[in-house]
Amino acid sequence: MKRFLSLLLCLMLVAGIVPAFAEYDTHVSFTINAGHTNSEMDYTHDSLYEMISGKFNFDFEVYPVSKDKQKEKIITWVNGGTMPDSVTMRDFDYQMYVTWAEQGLLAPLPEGWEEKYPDLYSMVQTSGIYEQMKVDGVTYGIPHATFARFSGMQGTVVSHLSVYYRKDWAQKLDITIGDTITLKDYEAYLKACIDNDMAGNGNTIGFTDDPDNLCNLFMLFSGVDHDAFRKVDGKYVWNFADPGVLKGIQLAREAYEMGVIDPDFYLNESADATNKFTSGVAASMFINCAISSYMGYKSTFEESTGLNGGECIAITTIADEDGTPLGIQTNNWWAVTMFSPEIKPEVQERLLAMMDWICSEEGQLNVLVGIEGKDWEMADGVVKVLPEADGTYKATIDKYNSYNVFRTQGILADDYSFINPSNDQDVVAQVKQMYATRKQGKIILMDMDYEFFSSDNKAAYSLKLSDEVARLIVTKDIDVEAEWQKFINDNAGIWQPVVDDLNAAFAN
Amino acid sequence: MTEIRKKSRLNRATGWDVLIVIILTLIAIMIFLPFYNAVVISLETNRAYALHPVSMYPVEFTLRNYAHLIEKGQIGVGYRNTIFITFAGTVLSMFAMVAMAYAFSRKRFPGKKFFFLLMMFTMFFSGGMIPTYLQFKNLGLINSVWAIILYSGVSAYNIIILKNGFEQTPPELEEAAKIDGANDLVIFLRVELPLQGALLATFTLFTAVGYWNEWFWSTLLINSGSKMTLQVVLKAIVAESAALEDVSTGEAGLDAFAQGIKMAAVMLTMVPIMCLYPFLQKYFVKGVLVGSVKM
Amino acid sequence: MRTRLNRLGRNIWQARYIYMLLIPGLLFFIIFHYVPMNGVVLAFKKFNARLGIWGSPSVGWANFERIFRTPDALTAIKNTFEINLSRLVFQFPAAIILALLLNEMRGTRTKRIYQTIYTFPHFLSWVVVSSILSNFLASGGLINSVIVSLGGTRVNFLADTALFRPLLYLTHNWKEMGWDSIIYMAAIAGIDPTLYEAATVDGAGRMQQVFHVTLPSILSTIVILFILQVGRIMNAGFEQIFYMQNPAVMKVSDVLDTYIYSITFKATPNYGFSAAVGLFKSAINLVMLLVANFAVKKASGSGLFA
Repeated sequence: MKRFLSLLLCLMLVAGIVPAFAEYDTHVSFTINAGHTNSEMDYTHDSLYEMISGKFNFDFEVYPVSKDKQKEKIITWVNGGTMPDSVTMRDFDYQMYVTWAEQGLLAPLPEGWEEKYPDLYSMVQTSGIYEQMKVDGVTYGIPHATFARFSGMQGTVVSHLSVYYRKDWAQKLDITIGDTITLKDYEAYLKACIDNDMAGNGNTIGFTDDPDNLCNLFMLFSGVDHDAFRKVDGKYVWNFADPGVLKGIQLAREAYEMGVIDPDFYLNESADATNKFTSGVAASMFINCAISSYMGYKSTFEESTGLNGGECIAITTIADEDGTPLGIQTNNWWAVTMFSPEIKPEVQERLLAMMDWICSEEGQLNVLVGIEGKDWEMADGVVKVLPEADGTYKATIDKYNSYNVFRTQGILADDYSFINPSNDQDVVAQVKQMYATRKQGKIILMDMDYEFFSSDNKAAYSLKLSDEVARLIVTKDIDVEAEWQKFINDNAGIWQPVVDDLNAAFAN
Repeated sequence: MTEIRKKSRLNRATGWDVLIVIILTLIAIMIFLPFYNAVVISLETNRAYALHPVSMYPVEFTLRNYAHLIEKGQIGVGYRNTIFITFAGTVLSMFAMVAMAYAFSRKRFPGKKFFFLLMMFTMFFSGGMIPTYLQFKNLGLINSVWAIILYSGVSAYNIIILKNGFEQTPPELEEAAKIDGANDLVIFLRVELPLQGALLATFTLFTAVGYWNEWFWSTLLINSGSKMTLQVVLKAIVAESAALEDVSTGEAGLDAFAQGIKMAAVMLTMVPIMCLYPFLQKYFVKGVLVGSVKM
Repeated sequence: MRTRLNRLGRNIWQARYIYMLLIPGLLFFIIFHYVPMNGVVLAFKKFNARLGIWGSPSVGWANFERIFRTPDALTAIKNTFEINLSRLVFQFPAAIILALLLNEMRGTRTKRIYQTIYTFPHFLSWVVVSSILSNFLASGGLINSVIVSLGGTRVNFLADTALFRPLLYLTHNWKEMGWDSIIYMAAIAGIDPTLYEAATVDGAGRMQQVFHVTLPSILSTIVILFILQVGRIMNAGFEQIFYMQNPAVMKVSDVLDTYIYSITFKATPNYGFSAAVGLFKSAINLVMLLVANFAVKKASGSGLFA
């Protein structure tokens, strides 16, 4: 008997089964905040959660925070020393991250993590900022890549903010909009929709948005980035002082006075704006166009209006007066995961192991598409998505609440969306086309030096620029140029020190 | 009493009367209208609202907004937590405040002025939000409902007014009790407290309403979904985009934060209190009247 | 000397129960107000979370100096001062006037119905009220629809900086004057009717009766509520402004509470700076208290804290 058992043990050792048991045989519990969670949902009682928590032998409690409040909440948590074990933060701010790391408010990743978690490391490298994330040679945060294996995105990553418009309205008005649109044509389209009351309720809205995205749109038409700092002729200057910004503000103001912009745009949160479009009242919006975002707006639109989304909604890219498509470079990462300094080492390792698996091909498949055998199966080496009992295809987000949490722990779903068979293929095609169009046009580049620079003055720099732009657009009877100049002068005490710091560090 | 006064006046409607009624009715309409509007919206579909944001009746009637809240909403949890906090908080706060108010109402004792100033100073000077937050952390009260219970109820202002109320009791009663051999505690419990019934009831109501409406520290301190209070839940529904960014199908995108759901949430959280209020109105009115006239 | 100490000791012993009654409240103030007051030193420091409040390095007056370099902070200070004082002028009398008006109305049952209706908005929270207000005043809202149907053009009420503060006081009155007027109503109900009879005999008209009988009789109530109002204004303005603000009117609406909130939670926090700004708020509160005390002294002879 003894002999048999020891033989069995050897076999098991060889098969690698025993080490697996030893790794995950301690059960761990942790608290987590990730992505967009709200207090309405239960994230721990679906099959996806059971599978993953069973595989890695853990249970978690979600601290839910809504999308708009996440940044605030995380700031309070980290500074107060009360953060949950794992936090995945969008709106990542490098300056804050460095401050936190230096003050010991984040747990460092264990030494040698790059070798121990290869898929995770590979994702971090794809994001392009592996080196920058190190503070004094130690990594404190894991950036999550947006595009990795499947998107086919090469080189510069371009922001996917796009103009959505009503294809059916344009058709009725005999207007053709192609892959790109200039400001003049855009305003003409909006005006026509309003004048002809296409929404049918006596108050068709033209272009609707929240102040941030509206600002982005008009700055893009004007060819500038409005935020932050950039190098001009070898020296750093404050972007907002660029005359292109003034031009953008004036363009926006003209459009507003023409009536083609939602008169209440400055009251909108991003959700209000999209609501106006998807409920059929507005002619256009400018917002996220990742595949899943587009799909979401499309189905909300269909539910709200009863119309066919494919026939009514389309997207287009902004172009300057010459028709050159305009794009803005963005990061190849969308969020950063950080750990609490109080986290237990075994919990951190378990979390890293889980994230590593989610970054692998197998993990990505399981989290983004669902459970093998139930939601998908391999057929001739190709993934085949399985329909529901009634023959329709349901998106993973609607099947498993915990998807909301797990999808943030690896590569962003955007990447897999490109080949996910259960996605709306029409949308996928449009988005691919959109990226292709932009790649050929003019791209406003990010300044990586600035992005990853930290100093006390940069920490003190916080101006609500899009608020000021909104104010300049909406307020009647003011000299916009004078007010804009005044804003620049009044706040010199805030931006000038940063410019000085940057020039001291980087000027050539 | 007012009837006597009225009879002593001429019994015909004067121009003043008409004007007054008009003004008051206008005010009543202005106050009532938004409520009515909110009720209407809560019973409408999102689509109807988008097309006809202004209507006096539900263009497309639906109970779906309420159903959504009751099924999926955290309203039940919110109620449970808020009721507990209000109850425990009001009891503890009233206890601390009334005791202190009575103590300060006594004529002389060593240190009276010092302690009084100690309390008063906090009325306009505070360490600030973050140090208070850090103090909660040091006490281990983060993510605990007890933080709210212990913190939000005691108010120096209320103590001052309660103190004034206590000062009004005729000194003969206190002297009589002292002759009978009662100590300060006994006097407090047997003599003073019962006399201030109406005032105490009033401030109990004030304090309870304060707890019920508390949201700032609740939002800051509570992390777990299971401990959220009603106001936090309400604000999440009404003010914050509680929807998910990458929404794929209609249900999540449609239901989350549509105007109808917001208004339904408002109704569900407000109506119970509004119904309670008329019953308590009697005590409330008497109490403040007593407390103030005596000042 | 000995006898002085002895007497002190005796007095303390005699008052022992009073101290017992003081303790719960005192504990509260010490734990939740005084201990956090050490945060004030933050105003002179550069906060380092790991070193804590006391261990953080000192930066002298740098944080205060920064306030004067930051236009938004100065705007917030100015606005807080102006809005707080204005509230006393525009909000406080509303409930009194309402009570006086309501009192002049005949018919007890209608009076009670009206009174109940007036109290409804008190139970709403500001997030809801501002949402309702948006519904009414937005370009696509109720008022504008009425304007359009009457042939006018839409007005952008909520972007108008001149309108914001009046709207602030108006909506506050809309929300609270009903609730606040109850107390005055009760006080008025308790006025001795013979006073009115005497006044009528003396030939006083209705208006005169209001000013010479009603108002003086409820003076003490007014005084208490004035004190309460000052307290409320100092501490509770945040929520209303927070939800009613929007980018177009920030210049006239941002107050210290909302400003501190935004710099503490929405940007890379510098707690030293936030603390320094917070001190300004305490200074304004002190002014408010002094104003209240002065008014109370004038009206009733004795100050707040006698």
